[in-house]
Amino acid sequence: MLELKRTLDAKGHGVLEMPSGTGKTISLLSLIVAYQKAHPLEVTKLIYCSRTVPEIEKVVEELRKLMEFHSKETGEANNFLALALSSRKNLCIHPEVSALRFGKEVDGKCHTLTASYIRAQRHSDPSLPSCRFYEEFDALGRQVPLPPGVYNLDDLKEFGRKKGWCPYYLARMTILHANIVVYSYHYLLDPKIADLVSKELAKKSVVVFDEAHNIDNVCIDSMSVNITRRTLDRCQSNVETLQTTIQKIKETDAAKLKEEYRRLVEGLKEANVARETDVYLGNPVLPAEILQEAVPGSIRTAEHFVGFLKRFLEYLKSRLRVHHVVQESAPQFLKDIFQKVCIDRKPLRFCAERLRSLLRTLEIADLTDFSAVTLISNFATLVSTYSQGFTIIIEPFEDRTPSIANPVLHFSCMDPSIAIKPVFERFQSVIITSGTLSPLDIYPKILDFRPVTMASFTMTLARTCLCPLIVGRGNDQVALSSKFETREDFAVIRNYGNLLLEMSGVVPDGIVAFFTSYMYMENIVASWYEQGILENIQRNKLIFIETPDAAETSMALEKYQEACENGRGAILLSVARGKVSEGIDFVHHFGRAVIMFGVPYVYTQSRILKARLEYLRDQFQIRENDFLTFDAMRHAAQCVGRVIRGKTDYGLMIFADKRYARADKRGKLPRWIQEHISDGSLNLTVDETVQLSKHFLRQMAQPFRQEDQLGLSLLTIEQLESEEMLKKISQMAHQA
Amino acid sequence: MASLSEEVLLVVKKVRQRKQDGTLYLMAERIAWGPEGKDRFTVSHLYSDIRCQKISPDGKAKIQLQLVLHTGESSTFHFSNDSSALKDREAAKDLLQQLLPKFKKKANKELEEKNRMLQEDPVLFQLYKDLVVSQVISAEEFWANRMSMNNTENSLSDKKQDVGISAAFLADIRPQTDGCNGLRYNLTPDIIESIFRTYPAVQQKYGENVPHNLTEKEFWTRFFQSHYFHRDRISTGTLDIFSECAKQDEKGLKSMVVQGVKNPLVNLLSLEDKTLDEGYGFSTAASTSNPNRTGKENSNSAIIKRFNHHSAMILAAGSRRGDAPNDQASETSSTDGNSRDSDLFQPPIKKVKLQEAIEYLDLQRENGPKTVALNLKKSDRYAHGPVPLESQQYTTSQDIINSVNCIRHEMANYVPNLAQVLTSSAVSSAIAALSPGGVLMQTGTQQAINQMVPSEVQGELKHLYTAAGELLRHFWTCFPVNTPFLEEKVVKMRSNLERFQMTKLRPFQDKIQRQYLSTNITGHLEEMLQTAYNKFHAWQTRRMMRKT
Repeated sequence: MLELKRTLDAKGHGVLEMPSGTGKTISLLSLIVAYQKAHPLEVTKLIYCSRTVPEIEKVVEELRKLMEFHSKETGEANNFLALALSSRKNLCIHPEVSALRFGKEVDGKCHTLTASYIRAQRHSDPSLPSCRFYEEFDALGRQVPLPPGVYNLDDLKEFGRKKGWCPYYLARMTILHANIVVYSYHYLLDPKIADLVSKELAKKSVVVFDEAHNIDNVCIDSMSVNITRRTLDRCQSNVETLQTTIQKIKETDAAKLKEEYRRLVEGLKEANVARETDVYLGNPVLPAEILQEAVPGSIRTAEHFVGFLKRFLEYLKSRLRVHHVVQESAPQFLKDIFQKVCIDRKPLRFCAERLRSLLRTLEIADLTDFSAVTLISNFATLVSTYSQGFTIIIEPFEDRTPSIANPVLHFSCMDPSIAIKPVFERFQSVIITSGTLSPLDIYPKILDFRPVTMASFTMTLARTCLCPLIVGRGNDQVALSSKFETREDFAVIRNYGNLLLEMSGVVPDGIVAFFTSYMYMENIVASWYEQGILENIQRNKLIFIETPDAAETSMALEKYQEACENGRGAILLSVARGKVSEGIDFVHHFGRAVIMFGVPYVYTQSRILKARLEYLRDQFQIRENDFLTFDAMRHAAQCVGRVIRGKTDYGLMIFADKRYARADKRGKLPRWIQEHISDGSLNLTVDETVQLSKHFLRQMAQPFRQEDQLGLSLLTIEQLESEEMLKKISQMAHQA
Repeated sequence: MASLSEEVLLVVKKVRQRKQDGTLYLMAERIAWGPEGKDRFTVSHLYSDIRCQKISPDGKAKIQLQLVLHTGESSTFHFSNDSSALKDREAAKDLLQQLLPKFKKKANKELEEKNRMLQEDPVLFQLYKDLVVSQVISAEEFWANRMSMNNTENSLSDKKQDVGISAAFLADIRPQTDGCNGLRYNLTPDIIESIFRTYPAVQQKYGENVPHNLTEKEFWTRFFQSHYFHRDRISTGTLDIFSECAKQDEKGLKSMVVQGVKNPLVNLLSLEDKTLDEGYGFSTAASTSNPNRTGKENSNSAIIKRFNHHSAMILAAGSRRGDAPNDQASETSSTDGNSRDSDLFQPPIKKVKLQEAIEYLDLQRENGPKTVALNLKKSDRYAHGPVPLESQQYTTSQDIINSVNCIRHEMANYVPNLAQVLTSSAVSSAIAALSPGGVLMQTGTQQAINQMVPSEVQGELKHLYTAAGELLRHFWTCFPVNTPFLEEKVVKMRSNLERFQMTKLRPFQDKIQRQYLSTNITGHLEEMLQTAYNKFHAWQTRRMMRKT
């Protein structure tokens, strides 16, 4: 709170690490909301970014509680407007469109119903299908602002249904004047989307990135492009379609193309005034100066542009025909393309914008088909805009299957600060927070910003409800480790199996086990199966395993919870960096123990990673090993942090790798975990672990009442207002 | 002899009991012993009365079998047939070993049930003390009525709880090598049931093929040989009868996946808000969609799939019977509303889950007094209640309008007829007489009983009421008396009632009298008893008349 207030006062940025389940969200919300109420001119808006849809909804529910509390305590009616924004898939109420399964389909379908030229066509031909919700919204909803209140996704839908307005566009419009907006990272970080959605948000906003431990990867993901042969093939057919459409239009409606030409001469400024439904296609980070310039003459007419695209495509195809791995920087690539096919840098930069204009002119309704050509044009713009921070790697085959040609062109971003830079520059305060951000100093480095405050908090506990144990040896003294050399070692695999087997007999309800990679898990599961370990585990608990298929995994997860719920107990085998480790919480009996088999290093042989490490070393002076360890440890902390979701919760955290005992690894765990690791629990055998676990679990199983916490980790209002406490608080404030 | 109708399972001759030679009979429900040459049993124990059996150690001269009863008594049988004493004893012992557990469970369950009922229901316990302990009626009589009533009442909850399936049941089938290149699997009925419950497809196959195509043994041999059992092997041919099962399982798994999950918090598909478009991103998911996976990897992922499926099936088998009706309900509702169910069914679950997720138990003030859940057999009855039979005459709306108009008309023309009302003095006296303490309210001003009578007397009275109520209920259930049994019972019940009146009611009345309380608080009790006596009397005289 103190640190946060200081950050807000200084109008700067902050990095805060708070253990999960200690009321991180609510304390952030309550302080910022109070600040907003106290200084309505200084902070006009709170933008709260979270990672997954359930998390977004949770935040809104907490906010609702807070607002209710506010109006109860002050007696004033709430005049705040807060809402959640999500993609069309989660907000659409059109009966046909919302029935579609994938977000992309929903977007595409929505576009075919609501794009402005389609609606213009409908004036002459009323038989065309329309979305009555959008029409209604367009006719009535724009003038009437949403009444104050807290709107979750379902509330928006409900409201939309009642009024007959499209909730998605209503929310899109409302975020501009709402006091609090809760949405996903991507709306701010992904330039393609941010450009559409978050462009006009007020500068005096406070931005909170919750669960931000992976924020650098999100940034990088949103700026990287992969091109395979399939992409190029689809692109080829896209270009052909474009060509035929242009021919057709030329015969029927040449004026339209001329009109477009005129517009392009005038410049790209109209991109700003494009109506919102048309801005379906984003554009990766258009530098401001481009908008002032006009599209260069060489790609201004439609045919020329298609010809240009074809040439570019051919060039890419030729590049993919290589037989050896190529790595080069963006300037090298540009030089090569100029030499080979005489494509200049300037038209490339306008590629994305030009394509957008063309697609709009050609009135192509379903844009999902044109994802390939859009991708290519975005690539062209990116590669010509940024000379630094990106690398191009062309791999003719996968490393594991050198005989099968599967060329891929990776255009990968290595500098996460590129994507997040506009956010830091634009908004007055940006708070980055998560349960696991250790070591704190690395984030400002890789995101290239200067925080006002950096703090890591621990938990005040009435009982030590977490028990981190590092298992370094098996009962036969074999060192346990997932490092590459011993990966196939049967003794290690068997000991890992023994550990799981023993724990399954000791721990009640749910156990979650994480492996370092999917491949590794597959191999271990197979050899456990052969050795009969799994059968023995089955005597104690049911086994569920994460698969690469998300739907199957969801089902396994639900069954896992069901098994924990009905008392049978279950084990979930899962993968660090997988979907489960990122988004699913295992509260209370859903996870009484978590076992981390090995240190979840990334696959270090990948060339993209190597390039990135090199870049980090050169630009930010971060040593390769430091970054790798940091990355591995944050994922390990993420995984084990899944089980503790509050003070009443309890859980074992077992790190099954002897490398965790080393100071450089241990030191990178969050403080709230680190402080519970005693020297005695650094290099345990499986048997010792079982003994310690038994002891811990027996203690934890004792009834834990509210009274036990009072005064320690829970204060009544009287205790809080007591003089002693106030003194303590002010003391703490002075110290800090 | 009663035993003639019973099934005699074992007869052992030359068994001595209390130094008398005789014959031991093991029958379906009891064990009996009769001395030689006589045709009646001097010893007879129901199996359910027997707690355990003991045998003499092997080396001993006397070969004996002792039965210990629940009451603590025991009877000892000495097998004295020189040549086959040991064999006889073993036979008897083995048979008893099989029989006793069956009855034990039953007996114990009954006892437990009774115990539980008494513990849960203090009124019943008091009743039990009043009636049974004071020997007004016997325990059996008391329970006879109770249990049957109870059985119908909780027939649902009373049903034997299904035992789930051990997750490792397949692992329990340990193959043993028989020394000559073969494997032996030991299957018990339990395991077979587990297999059937977990894999309904196998049961179906079993039904189809056994016994007309294959013998049972052949069926199971094939089962164990099939790759269905060894799922890590990739299927090789379609000749196997179980390949279809595998396909069915696959289908089941797929349909489960397609059905999706109900809890939105674990639905990984909808977790991401904005997925990156294909082609963007840091890493491609190439390795998973790769068609050219090696056989080894394929089999590994098959194992993983199999484990997921296996666990899911076991879970399903465990819960299948318990909430079959519920399941059906939800299933039907989801099938007919398939397309819209995302909208109709999700929000409540989602709301609840979200609330759960943001609530902290330790921050809650108090979670109210524990309430007892309402257990409704027919909830619609509870919700609606009995509706009086409506007359079939419906008025048309025109009629209603007419009558409203009519009333309005009347009201408009209403003139109070003040000439014919009472005088004000008469009215005030009438009101005074009718208000509490007035002339007409004297009998009605009964002070509440709880102020007049000390609480322990009240409590006693309450017990008396419940006891009397119970007895009277027994009494009245005998009518109409149409069987000799009921006749007998009704006579007995009358004597019970009389005894109750003598041993319980009278002392109570005396006590009240001693305390100078108004005696009429037991008036109603006596009245009830009297009514019962009258009824009994009327019935008896009628019976006498019929007889004469």
